[in-house]
Amino acid sequence: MSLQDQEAFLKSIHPFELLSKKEIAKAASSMNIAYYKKDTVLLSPNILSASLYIIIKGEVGEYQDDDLIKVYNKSNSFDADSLIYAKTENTFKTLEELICFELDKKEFLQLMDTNEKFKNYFLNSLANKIRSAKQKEYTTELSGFMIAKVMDSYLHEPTIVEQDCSIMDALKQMEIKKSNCIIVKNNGEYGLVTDSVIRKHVIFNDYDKYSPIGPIALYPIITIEYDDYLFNALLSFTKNSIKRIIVKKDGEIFGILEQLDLLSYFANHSYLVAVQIRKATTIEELKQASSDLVSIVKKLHVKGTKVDYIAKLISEINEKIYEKLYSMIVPEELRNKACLIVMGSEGRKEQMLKTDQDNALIISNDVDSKLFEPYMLHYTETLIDFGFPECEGNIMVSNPYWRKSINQHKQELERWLESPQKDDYMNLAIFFDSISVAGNKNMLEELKELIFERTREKDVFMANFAKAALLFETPIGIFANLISDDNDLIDVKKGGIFPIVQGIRSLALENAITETDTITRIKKLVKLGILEENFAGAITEAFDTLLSLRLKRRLQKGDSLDKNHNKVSISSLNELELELLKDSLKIVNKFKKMLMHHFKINMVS
Amino acid sequence: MFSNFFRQQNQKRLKNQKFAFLFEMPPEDEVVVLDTETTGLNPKKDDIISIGAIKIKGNKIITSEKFEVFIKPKKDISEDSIKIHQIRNIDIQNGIEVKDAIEQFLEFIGPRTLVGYYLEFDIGMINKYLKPHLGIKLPNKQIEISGIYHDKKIKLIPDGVIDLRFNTIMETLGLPIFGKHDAINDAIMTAMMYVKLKNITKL
Repeated sequence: MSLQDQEAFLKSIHPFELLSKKEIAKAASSMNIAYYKKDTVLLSPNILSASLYIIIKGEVGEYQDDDLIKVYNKSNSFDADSLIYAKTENTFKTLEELICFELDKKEFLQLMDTNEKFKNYFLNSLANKIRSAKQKEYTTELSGFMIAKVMDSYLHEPTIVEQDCSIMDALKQMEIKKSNCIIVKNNGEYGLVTDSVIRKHVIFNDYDKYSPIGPIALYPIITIEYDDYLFNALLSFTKNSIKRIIVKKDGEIFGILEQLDLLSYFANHSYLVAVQIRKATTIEELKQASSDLVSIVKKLHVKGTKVDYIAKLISEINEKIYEKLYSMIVPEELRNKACLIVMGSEGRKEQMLKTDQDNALIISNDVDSKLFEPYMLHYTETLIDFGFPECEGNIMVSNPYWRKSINQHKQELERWLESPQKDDYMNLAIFFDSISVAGNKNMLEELKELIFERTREKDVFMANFAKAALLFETPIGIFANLISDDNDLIDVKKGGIFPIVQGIRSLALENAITETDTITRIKKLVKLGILEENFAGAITEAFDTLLSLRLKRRLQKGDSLDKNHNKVSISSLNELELELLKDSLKIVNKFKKMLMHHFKINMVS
Repeated sequence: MFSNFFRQQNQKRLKNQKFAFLFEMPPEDEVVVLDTETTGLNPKKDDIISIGAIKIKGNKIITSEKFEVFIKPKKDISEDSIKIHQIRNIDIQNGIEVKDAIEQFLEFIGPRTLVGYYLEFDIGMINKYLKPHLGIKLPNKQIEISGIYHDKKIKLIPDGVIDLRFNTIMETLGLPIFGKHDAINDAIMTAMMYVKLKNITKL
């Protein structure tokens, strides 16, 4: 292989393409070619690593305590960690004859020194490695829109006044600075005065325009950090139905982000959908507003938005639809006598397109549950008409089992916990993930309290509950090979998404974590010291990868949900996606082991 | 015994003692693989235009210290040869004098055993210049790669006719073929053949 060939070969291997032309040339000229027979130990705790091996031909196995944990083949390189940390716990042995390049240790470390990106690739933990690979994948598609930070957008200079400043003076200052609102400082706290506030108080209520501004300000203000993603600002606008958000930096007010400026950043109409929902006065209008969701998801996905964010946005919008529809269908006098909840993936804010309805109604003890029947039948039907598919398990408010008084709910919960039948674990699981979307929200909290109370120190129950996470085999072999059924499909839900969701759910239940979405639960578990931070990061990334691969496939296949909608076709993945999938599934396996140990699951099975 | 005799005869003829190292004991477990590119296939008429060589230590091919020179030819390279090695006349206009090339080559190989594919041709080519210049022929021990290949293969098919073409050997040994046929590239591929053949007992 001439020098040019070596350079081309190196360049084709991630992350060597990050090197500059000069660096590549230097690396290529300092490599040797080595040959090893089958079963040669290249590296082990006793054999120090002297070079980075890049395989030209052949296979090498990495062993951990005699277990083969990974197989390297053509174009793979190993083992950067041993070079960086000058030690290894694992053993690397040739599985067949090997021809490889050897890049001298000194040379390799020098490359890390001179090239930051190259260094990061090797230095970072797996979570970061996946992230770096993803970034690479997305830079081609990324329009710059998703990685835009709040500070990248146009921010208005804030007009900040003390609370005893007169309204008139404040308005003058606002005029000079051409701000659209006034921020009122009140003993370290901030309030907001907008045009509409002044209109309401000064014009309608005859409030004296020379009197202090403090009393008419709105508290508290909604803020966002200046280095947060614009996307999160959008979420906040949508969620809080506000027109502007206060941007903070180091605890101080930095500027004001106006909705209009933000919208100019976004090509899609997610905010507009939320407005349409709010303004809808008939069911037909509401249906219209909800129909544009799929195209929003598509746009966001193409732009490389984290799946987690897309799901949250869609959930926010769906919640608004549920809430609005509830208020349209249920007569006013009954609305607060019940609490409408969504469960399962909707409760976790993880549904991406319109997935099955999983909803229930908790009815106050002092009204007849029967009163709600016609409205709830209508509710379910309308949602089906909107394109939210019927739940196969009939977990919907149209089913009396999921539409009952709070006392009946309690009884059933007690029974699930005391003498669970086969479906009850799953019922509890999806119920535990529920959030209220309309009506009297306290009722759900009361039931959740009961769950936490009754599961405390119920080790056997918890072990059985967590066991579901281990129900399906993770489709990855001991040689890090993917195991697909014969038509090259991998079920990422059974293989990865569900085990993560169920495992994290179990840990959340055990630790009385009230948040329902998986990512936030993971964060809480880290705070409580249940999950180690690096591992938690890896799980989060694996989760995002799996959801993302599934979403990609679903978008490709269109809106229709066929029986394979949880499966990913291996042959359609590029090499990078394949690596990410393998890495993710490996993490799932590691997580399963941790669950097994944590809940002592082998004691109950 | 006779080889020793000829070796001594050869050494006596050495004109420049600077190159006496060629007759020393070679370092253990090291060989040099070489390949030359020429203006044509007739050693009497044709010239060397490029020499590529690479050291092998144990099972490692030391590509990081490869030897490669281009030589200014006395006559134009034939069209057929250009097609094989893709070295055009213009490519070697800046080549060095053949005398310097040979001296540098000797420095590189030292007393090491030489390995090559149809090595006889390459050695003949080099000797053509070496003899008048230093009075000697290459004294290094020589290993013909197609010879080792033939011997290992013939065990399997006695009386058989063995295909000794370069690409066939590469393929049979399961080695990756890459790059164009220039001196250094061919030397590296030949080196891979050597290392592989050295490590297997049968094909």
